[in-house]
Amino acid sequence: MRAGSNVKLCTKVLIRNQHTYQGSGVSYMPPKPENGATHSSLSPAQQAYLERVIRVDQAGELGADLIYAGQYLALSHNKKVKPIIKHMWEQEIHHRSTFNKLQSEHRVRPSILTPLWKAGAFGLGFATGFMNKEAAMACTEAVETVIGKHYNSQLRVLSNNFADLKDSNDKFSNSKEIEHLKGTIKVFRDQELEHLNTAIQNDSKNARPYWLLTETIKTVCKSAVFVAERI
Amino acid sequence: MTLRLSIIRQSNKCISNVGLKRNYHSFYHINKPIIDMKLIENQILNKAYEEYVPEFGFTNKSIENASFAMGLNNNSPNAIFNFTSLTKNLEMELILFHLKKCRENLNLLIKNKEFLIEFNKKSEFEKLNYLLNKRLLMNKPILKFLPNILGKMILPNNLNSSLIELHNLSDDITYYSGDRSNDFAWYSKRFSISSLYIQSELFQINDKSNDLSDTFKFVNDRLKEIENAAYIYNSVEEWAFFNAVSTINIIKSQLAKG
Repeated sequence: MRAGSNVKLCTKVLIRNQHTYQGSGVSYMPPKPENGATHSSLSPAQQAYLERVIRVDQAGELGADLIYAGQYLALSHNKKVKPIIKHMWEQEIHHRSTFNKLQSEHRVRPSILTPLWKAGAFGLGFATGFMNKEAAMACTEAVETVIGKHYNSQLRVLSNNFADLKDSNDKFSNSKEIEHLKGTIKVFRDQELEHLNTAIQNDSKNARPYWLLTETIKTVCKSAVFVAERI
Repeated sequence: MTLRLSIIRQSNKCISNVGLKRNYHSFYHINKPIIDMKLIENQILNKAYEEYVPEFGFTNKSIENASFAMGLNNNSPNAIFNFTSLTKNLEMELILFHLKKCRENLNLLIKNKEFLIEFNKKSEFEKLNYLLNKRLLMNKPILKFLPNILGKMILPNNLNSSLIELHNLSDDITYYSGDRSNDFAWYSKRFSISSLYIQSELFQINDKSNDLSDTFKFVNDRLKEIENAAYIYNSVEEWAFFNAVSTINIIKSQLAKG
């Protein structure tokens, strides 16, 4: 009985994903230029920074996807929480596939610790979900706080340090590639902060031990970001 | 005077020139070419590679002849490469030039639109096979120098730059063949292609067949082995994950029953 309904639900989620993300015309990448490059070449530092951004964000979204997967597995019997987690999970799946696409098309090396991120994230999601609903929401709150700040700092660098690039008319402007990356990060940051809001509305502050739980998860997330940027 | 100026100009940029590593691949910004022919050292190397290597091999003599033919002093290559290269070794630079030239040829091939129409019909396995064979064919004109080259490349001083070039080659080949993996498979694919390429090059040295057909057969067999291993790994992983999830679901349903 249970297995059958799970399969049905999965297909439903899949169909809905296709519907929302392909139907609304959201694309993972900007269209490729027809007549080759339009802008001057990026400096080695800028290239290194873009590589870093894509690598760490891909690892982060992979982590987020699997945290919600773990929570969903642990909490899917709770009729109230189930749709909330599923909604957030669906958005994270979209984020993850966007960065996967960016990573493979721009030929960026994925983080070498991917297996560790997978196991860690799924374990974290499942463990907090297993404790209770409040702990799961506190986990969401901690993770999304760190990620929101992290995306903001990336946006700051992307708008401050990429102004010296010239287009074919010798004028300073941002290429579609950089604009698209900025736009993507902006949308994702807003959605992550929406998740933060959802978590607080669903009693994340009632988790016990609240301080220990959130601060531990925040520290873990920050160190994971530090490592995934580098290797 | 002009030469001196160009040397100074290059030595300022030398770190970015040395950049052997593959970088972020952009669509809207101009990417750095694999070989920048504006640089004098690459012009010398190109002349040596095209005209003198078939006769003298990958030796100092080829480079000296090339620079002499370009109107430079016999000794100036030593000075130029001392400032602009990581290895500071003329022979190694010539070998690296050969490796980059082959990568550039593959890149040109893959940009050719007529070629792509046929190429895109192939499966990933066939593409990998084709590109590896293509790359091994490029060794044919210099086959008699190959043992020497390999010996030079694995010297401790040169090993690092050789490995970076090897990684660049396997990265190019897997990317061109349509690999879009996002996780650890990215590493295992490139690592297995690198080791396969080294093995086939060693095989190629002793290949007595006329058109390298034995080497191509070797490549095909080894690729099949890698494909099988990947299939086994993926199946086991899928099976294990399915069982883990169903175990948890069974426990949950039993608990709910009480």
